[in-house]
Amino acid sequence: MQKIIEQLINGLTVGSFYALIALGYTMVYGVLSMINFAHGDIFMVGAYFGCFTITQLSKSGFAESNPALAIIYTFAAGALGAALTGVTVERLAYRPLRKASRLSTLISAIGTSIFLEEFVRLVPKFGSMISSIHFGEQYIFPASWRSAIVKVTQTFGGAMVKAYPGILGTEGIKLGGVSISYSRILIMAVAIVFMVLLYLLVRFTKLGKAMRAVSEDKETASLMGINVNRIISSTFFIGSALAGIAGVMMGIFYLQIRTTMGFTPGIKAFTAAVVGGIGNIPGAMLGGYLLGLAEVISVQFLPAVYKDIVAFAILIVMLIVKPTGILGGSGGKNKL
Amino acid sequence: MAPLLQVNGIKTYYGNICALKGVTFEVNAGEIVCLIGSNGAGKTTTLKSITGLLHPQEGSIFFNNEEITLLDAHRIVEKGISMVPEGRHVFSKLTTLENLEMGAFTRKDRTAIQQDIENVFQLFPRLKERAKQSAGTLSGGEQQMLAIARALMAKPKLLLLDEPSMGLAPILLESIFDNIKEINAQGTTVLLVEQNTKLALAIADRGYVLQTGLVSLSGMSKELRESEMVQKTYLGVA
Repeated sequence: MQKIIEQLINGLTVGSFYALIALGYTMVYGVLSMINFAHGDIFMVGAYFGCFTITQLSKSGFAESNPALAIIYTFAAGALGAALTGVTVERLAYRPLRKASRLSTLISAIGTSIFLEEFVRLVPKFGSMISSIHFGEQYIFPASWRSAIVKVTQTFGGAMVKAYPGILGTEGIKLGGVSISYSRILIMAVAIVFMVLLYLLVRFTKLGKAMRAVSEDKETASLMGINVNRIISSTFFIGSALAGIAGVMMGIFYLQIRTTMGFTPGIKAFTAAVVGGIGNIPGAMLGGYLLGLAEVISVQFLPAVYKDIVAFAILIVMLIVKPTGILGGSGGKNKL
Repeated sequence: MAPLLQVNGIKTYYGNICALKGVTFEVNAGEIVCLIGSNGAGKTTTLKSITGLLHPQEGSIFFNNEEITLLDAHRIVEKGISMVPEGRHVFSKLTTLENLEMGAFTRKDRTAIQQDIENVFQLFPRLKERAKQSAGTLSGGEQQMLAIARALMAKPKLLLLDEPSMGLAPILLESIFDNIKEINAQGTTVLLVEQNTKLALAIADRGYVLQTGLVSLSGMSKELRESEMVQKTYLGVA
């Protein structure tokens, strides 16, 4: 019994990652009817921004004296870094192709995905390149700037696996024999808070209503005076911020990050979005948790290496049986 | 006094296809003006060029003495033009009330918006009963009312209506056209595009006949009703 509950909590933790990332897929699909295949890498970028921040805060001793604030700053940095990346990607890689065929946008998304991975990997190289720009004997930056650039870029990215300083450790609380680590509690709580916030935003604010209007009919939305491009940027901002938060969570949970970390969670979250009904916000949340639970349940019966197979088998079955997803409408007309 | 809306020789293309070949007309403040013509004459293209959904390649459009030819659609709404699109295009997943709020998107005056919601509910009492319902569940006539009410929420100086009669039961037609007259009487200038020529000429002060991308005839409604060409082509009088 204890073991089952612990596994369920495990599933909800993993489900929180999937749900948060799936929201970005579903929101972008809702407004643009495109799958943002670079979304997993935006998640990764968020994890790196968070890692940079928490590393700095740990080095200075701030994280030890103010752990709560340090965690908030880390999440904020991850969310903001990912959000700005997402908005930039939309502006540069998708908007120019808005009227092009779907295939062009898809290829642009795949290209962006590779670009982001390689960019983060090569950041330290860019750092040393920039810091060593010189004319003859004269460097264009003073020595102190040059070492700062090298240091910052090396802390930020690179080909090596980066360790997340463990702020929460492995401790936790025990409830009737079931132990739950603080990091799991934090992850589930943060995920739920942001999902509720997103729901309220989409349902009740002017921005949320405008997002739904744009998702349904861009031309008519612009006739209302809605700046459609700005709403699309906002959608990317919010969806990417949620992915960034998930990235930080994953760092806190697994204590290490790498540039390729976005691939598998990205595809799993895409599966979650499809299972829930792509374009549907509650569907993405539901799909995320269902997928997380399905994975831990499968581990009970099958060797752990089969859990990816289970996830993608669910995707395939879903696409055959009900392609519009659990909460999706008919005919692929899902709207936010 | 300069006209409220002045359209000077606009040429609008879809790709290489020239849909408007130099359309010129004007709308004075307070008028109801109608554009009539058959399918493909360029009526909707004309409205889309005015609202910024399409941009003419030649010619110019002035509204309130200000050039708006190349402004984006969402900027033109701020200037005081709103449009009821052909086929209504209400946001079906949003409630009636949310649709009206979207109509007031460019406005910041919350209390005045509340007041205007009450005003449009007075004009269309049916919408008040449906306020919390999602717009997709409304009947065709109710959706048309909602589309008009939504456009009014922007407090436009000029209201463009694209085929408001389309798909409506005859019994609803008259009441919708009465509503349009009332809106005009309350001070909103109206530019009406309509295939139902008889109805359009009945409420309009003046009219323009569009044929294959050009204005072929214009005049007071009475003159147009009596013109042989209009009678033959659009009113079905032998």
